[in-house]
Amino acid sequence: MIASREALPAEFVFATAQYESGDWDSAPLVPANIIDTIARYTSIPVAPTGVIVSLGSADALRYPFLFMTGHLPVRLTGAEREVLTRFLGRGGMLFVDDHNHDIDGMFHRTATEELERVAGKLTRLSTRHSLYTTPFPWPDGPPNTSHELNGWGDNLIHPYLMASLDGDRIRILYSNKDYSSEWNFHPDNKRFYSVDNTRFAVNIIVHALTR
Amino acid sequence: MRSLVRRRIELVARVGGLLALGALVFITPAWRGRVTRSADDAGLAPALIAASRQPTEQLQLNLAAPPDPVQRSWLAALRGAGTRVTWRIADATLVPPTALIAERLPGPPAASRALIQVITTPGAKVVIADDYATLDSTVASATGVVTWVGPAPAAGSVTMRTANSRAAAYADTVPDSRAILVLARAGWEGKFVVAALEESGWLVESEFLVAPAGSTPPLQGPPTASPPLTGRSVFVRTRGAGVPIDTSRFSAVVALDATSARRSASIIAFVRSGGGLVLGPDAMIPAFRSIAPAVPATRRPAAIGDPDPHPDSARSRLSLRTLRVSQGAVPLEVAGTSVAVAAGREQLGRVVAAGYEESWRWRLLGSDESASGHREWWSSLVAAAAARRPAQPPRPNLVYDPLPFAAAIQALGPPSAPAGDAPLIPWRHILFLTAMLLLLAEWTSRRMRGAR
Repeated sequence: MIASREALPAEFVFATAQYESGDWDSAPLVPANIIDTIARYTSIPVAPTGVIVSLGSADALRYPFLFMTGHLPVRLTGAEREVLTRFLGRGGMLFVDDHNHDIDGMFHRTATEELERVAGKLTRLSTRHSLYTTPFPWPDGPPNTSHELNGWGDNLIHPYLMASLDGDRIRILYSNKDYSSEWNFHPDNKRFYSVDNTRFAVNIIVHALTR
Repeated sequence: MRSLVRRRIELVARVGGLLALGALVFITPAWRGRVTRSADDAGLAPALIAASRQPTEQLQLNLAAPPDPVQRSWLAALRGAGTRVTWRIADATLVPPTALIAERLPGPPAASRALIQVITTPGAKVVIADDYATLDSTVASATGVVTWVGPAPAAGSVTMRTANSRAAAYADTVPDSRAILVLARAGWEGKFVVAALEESGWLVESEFLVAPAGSTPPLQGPPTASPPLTGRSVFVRTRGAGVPIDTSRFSAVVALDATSARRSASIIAFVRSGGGLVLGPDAMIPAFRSIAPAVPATRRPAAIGDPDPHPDSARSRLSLRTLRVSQGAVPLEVAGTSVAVAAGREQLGRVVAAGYEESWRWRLLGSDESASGHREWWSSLVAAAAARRPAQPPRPNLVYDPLPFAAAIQALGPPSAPAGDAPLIPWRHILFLTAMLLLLAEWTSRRMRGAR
């Protein structure tokens, strides 16, 4: 669903950032899956469907949480940089996942370059950060994905996430874990999993909504 | 016969003259070991020392400005010990009666601000300073008032000068270390209220409800390292948020929605013992009805959307639950014809009710100044409600003299008129003249009748 200019929903809306370059829509089932997870584990009012919002439009400021993914090189336009600067400056949180799960890949190199132009250096997020404690505990840091464990991409397990922080408040959360692949399935299929692998998304959304 | 009468008159004149001389000796302080001193500003300190070492009948002061607090106390002590102290201002137009008031404004501890007010004669040039620098130099208004609001003065000490008058006051600048507790469900409003208060310099503890007990079904499947969120309420709390709510830990509670109902009893007790409470529109629930300054009435839909050129008008376009003000409460903010914010007292505490919904949209969707506008507005709401910490006493070595002229009158009596130094009846002159006349008459009479 494309974001409507009139709609001012009171509940949490999962918004996917649409950017000019690259393939922003490479993980189309992730929003529905995360929405299902939020509704399943929390009482947070959540819109049943996500929205797609242009990163170069002021409409992006309607959604304080934005999800961004892709495989291809990312080059932000001037308008996208300007909106992203305002978005972060006013307290929004951007979650970026490298769909290539590859620190030498084009998405990683270009996306981090663009993000650092806007928000400064991305740093390793400590595993003691509250992102890994509430509500689900992840004492070893971000959960690994099956793609990492199978040796795809750069054949590495990425033990940490990157972030741009304001105190302990995460402005940008950057992942090479490839959650875009890990969570890109229909929510109904969770019944085939012995452990729900989307629970880490609850921590991300709860952090966005509380810090 | 005439000779006898003349001798008796001579005798009376002699005795009268001698009595007058005796009275003159008696009323002259120097002859009784007591002296009269006079001093100006430069000579006041030596005069005080001298008057303390030697009994002094009278101390006459001709000053350019009222004595400072130490000199004033010293003079009052001498006055109490029997010295007659008279004082006057050489040029009263240079010493207008003045008052200086300095107080810390309620607000975040990290951004302490003070209100300084000077009351003096209209049009007087006033210089306000703290320990380190001049804070402001201005001219008193037509009503004789100067008001200055700014960062709290260094070390709390404030001085004011106008012409020859100087006053000193103290603003308590010791920061309040108590926190603001924000209670809400996990959501944008709570997140951005916490952000606004933290950015304003408040110490903030927060408790966000993520899932109430039993609200979510257990995840099917074998036990995992991460247990499902069932069976108990799940909160995201800062370290200090779970402690009992009392005025030793918190100066105010911000309740944004009905999740605060579970702690309503302790919040009401907190308010009645002096704490502050800010109620969002969704928190004006029956649990707080007894202390709320207003109840929500109608809902005015939001008109905010595109960036707004003015930060305050962006607030006016938020969705609003208009308020019906309770008896004894007062409206703090009106939007159009509707009350948007109201405040009231509940025993020792204060409660503020704000009807704006989803104020975070003001911060995100307003103009570039909206973030600061949102921050200042929330900070002002909390400051209006937050408990005041008892004022700390001034530093022991601080000269505290907010009303120098009035204090001098209280300690020493009113200043003398310029011509009022001389006693109303010049007894010494009268007695001396009387003695001289009587003795001269007696001597002349005796000589004229040939006696020695």
